[in-house]
Amino acid sequence: MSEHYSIRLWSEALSPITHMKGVEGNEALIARQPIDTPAGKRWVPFLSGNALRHRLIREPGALWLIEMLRLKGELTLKQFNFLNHGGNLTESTGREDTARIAEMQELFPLLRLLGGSLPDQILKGSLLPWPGMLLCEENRQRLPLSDGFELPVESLRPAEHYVEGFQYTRGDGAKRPDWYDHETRDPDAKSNLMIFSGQQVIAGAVFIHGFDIPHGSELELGALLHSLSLWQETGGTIGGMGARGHGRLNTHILGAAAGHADAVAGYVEHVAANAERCRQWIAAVFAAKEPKPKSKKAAAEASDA
Amino acid sequence: MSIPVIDTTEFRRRVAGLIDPNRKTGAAEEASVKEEAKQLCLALCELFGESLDRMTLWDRIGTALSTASAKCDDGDTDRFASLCLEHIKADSAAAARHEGFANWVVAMAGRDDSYRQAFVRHCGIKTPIVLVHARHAWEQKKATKKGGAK
Repeated sequence: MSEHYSIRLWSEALSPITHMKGVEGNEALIARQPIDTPAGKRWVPFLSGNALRHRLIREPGALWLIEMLRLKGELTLKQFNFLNHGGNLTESTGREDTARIAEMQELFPLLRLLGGSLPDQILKGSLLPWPGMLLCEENRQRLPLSDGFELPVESLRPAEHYVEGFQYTRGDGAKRPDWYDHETRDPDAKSNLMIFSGQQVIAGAVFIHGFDIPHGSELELGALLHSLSLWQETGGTIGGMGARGHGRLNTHILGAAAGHADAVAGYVEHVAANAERCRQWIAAVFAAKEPKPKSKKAAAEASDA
Repeated sequence: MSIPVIDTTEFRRRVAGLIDPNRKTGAAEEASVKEEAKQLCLALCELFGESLDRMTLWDRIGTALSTASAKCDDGDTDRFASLCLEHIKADSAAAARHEGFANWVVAMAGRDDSYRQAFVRHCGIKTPIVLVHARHAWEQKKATKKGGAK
């Protein structure tokens, strides 16, 4: 019996968020989307659904799955790309192997959610992510909030309140000649000190987002929640500059969590119980194809030669 | 291993912290904030430190307003004024005697927190405009003084 599952999330920035989109001169710009408001069109910072889907669900879920299946270091690059990045359609002759799809859907709740592309077949996923929408006045009318989660009548802070700049400096060792062979330095070279700057969404900003699973099962819900937990446990970052401490999100589920723990436990048990079949399926769908039998004409030409 | 949950009560509590403190002020209150900013600037003109070059009067008052507002976004106008006085190297005794400055301090003391925050934000985000109004008022005041002296 399938159900529609809806997960709504509250993600508060614990450090600057630098989910970027383009540059202006030397300044990196944060990703924004146009929003039509009563005061006119406004460009409001957001987190793309694409980034959220990968960082929150696919990457933590796929890496865990690979480890659970004891395939870490054993996969081919194509297999790893399929599981962790969605894969590519690389063969010119596509196919529609419904038995293969049915088996994947039975074995891999995570792939049922996310889909992907085998070398010769595209597999549709069912997960519908919301983009991360900044909790600000401009977004008031369109935040994906469930019943009961109502905003106050007072104005929320405007989007621009949450946008600031950052600046970093990359040093140059040229002025510390004791630490390197200064004969190797070009005497005409100038110092390579680099200042780089950009925009950030400040810590304290909140993004509302979520995921919908239409016609899903408890196993898919379990896969989704399990991946989300893994993502939070391993830092819960989004966007770039994680090496500088950016991108930390503290995420909460909005609303009741009844049945969530059972769904996660059910998913983990399912993967453990089907590990061998999962490994076989991955090996089979990426196995080298047997060459096609030659046509009669080609065979005749070959024998004449 | 699970993601924590926020219920509707906790949601309302958290969202309350995201309400814009820069709430829509009424036209009367906005005009009042502008007037208070102008009055403070006029006092700063008269209290401008003698050790400073008067040619830098408006530059110095501008930087006093912007740096003080950056440090007092909690709406502490007493500290705001103290920082401004310090920045223009005002004589403390002269400030204590200055009638206009004293009136400003008393007026701000009678205001509520949100008004004081609105004042600080106004001085911080509209510094050039505050200076334009203040300079205009200062020129008028000088002209009046000259006219009265004739």
